[in-house]
Amino acid sequence: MNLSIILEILRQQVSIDELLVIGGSAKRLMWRQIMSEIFDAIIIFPSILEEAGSMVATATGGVDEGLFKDLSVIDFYLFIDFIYTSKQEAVIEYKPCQKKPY
Amino acid sequence: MLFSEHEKEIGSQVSSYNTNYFNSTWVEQDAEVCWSAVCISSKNLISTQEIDPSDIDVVSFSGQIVGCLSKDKVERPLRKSIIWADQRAQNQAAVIAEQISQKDFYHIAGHRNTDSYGIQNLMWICDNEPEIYEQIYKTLNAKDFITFRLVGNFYTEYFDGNSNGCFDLMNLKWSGRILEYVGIDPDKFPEFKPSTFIDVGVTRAAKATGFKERTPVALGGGDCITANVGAGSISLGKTYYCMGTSAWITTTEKPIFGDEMCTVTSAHIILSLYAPNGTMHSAGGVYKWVKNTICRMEMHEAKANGKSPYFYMHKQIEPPHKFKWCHFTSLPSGWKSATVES
Repeated sequence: MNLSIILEILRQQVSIDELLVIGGSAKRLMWRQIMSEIFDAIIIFPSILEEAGSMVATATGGVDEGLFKDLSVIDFYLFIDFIYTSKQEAVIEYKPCQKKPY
Repeated sequence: MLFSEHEKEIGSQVSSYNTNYFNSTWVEQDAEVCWSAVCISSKNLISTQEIDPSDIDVVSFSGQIVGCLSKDKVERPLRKSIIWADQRAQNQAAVIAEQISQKDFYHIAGHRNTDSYGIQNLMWICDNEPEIYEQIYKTLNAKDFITFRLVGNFYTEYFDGNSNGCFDLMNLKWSGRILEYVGIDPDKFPEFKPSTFIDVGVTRAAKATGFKERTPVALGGGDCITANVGAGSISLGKTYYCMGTSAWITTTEKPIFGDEMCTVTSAHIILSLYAPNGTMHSAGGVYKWVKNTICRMEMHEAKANGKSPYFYMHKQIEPPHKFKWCHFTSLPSGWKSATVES
């Protein structure tokens, strides 16, 4: 819920309709559903969930070594595995919980 | 992890190490143990993949940010590293607050003045362990310490430097104004270089790590920003959510300075960009705590049936059950209560 508040603040400056999700906890189907409904966004899951940081650290070295032109090479490594769209009735049910307590 | 420019991921190795929680709010890790983990996983990866070390074009690191690893001029960490979850430096944050308003600090550093950042922790060492403070040549974060061990020079890149809390976000340099207020010697911080910077390469520790001497070493980036780019957030508006031990949502934009200071902005690996974000400091970490502390029956069932405890926890929150779970700690939004309801 805290992160949904963060997202709403960012949305005041940037249009955000979809979120790409990484991290070990993103493996769970139930969490994927909860995320899409709390965030009211399309949730995209790449095939690499836990190794994204290491992958980019490697790519930074590859840029300086001339192996890659720039960090846009990451699109080559990024394979989208799963897309989840929120159910609007659940989105509405979460809304009252997302008010700040002060 | 081992990657090929043609074949994507080749292999990976994991070496875990412990975190010490004590005195209620103190959290430290031993940099020597971290270094050993790097050595073990590098050597194992090279041997299990049957890689010729001379075929490795470049080595780089992603590492934990927001810490205070005190180094002397030679090799030794002078004490265990104070890490991001530590909250001992509350008095030091209060001293800074006497000098500069939260709003001004936020607009310089992109982050709020709290007890979590490197500068407040370095002040704590200065105040409480002056004999160690006097010996500090540089204060580093985890990945920059590993780079030092390989190349023998002290550097950081802009994102990790930003996490020290004494960074001038708009000018990408140490903030002379904040450092003047806190009375910390600016020379105790390393020199900035871009993430893609490569110095002399491996000059030491080749035997310990399995890397060949002179293998190029790039600085890489702090964990959040490498995850940022790894999630494809390299153009304006591209947004991602990382759900791990801690969790955060980050987009790529110009700096965002909200009136309530609920979000922070960090430097980006790509120097023309910025990474505004907000965090939940204990996400997966809290869930694990719930498992270990509350879900004893689920853990018992899991052990008896050879399943994950999370399997039984998830069964209870799947429809038709409903749950309400408020958080424990989440600094940016201002929710501070520690309650769980179910």
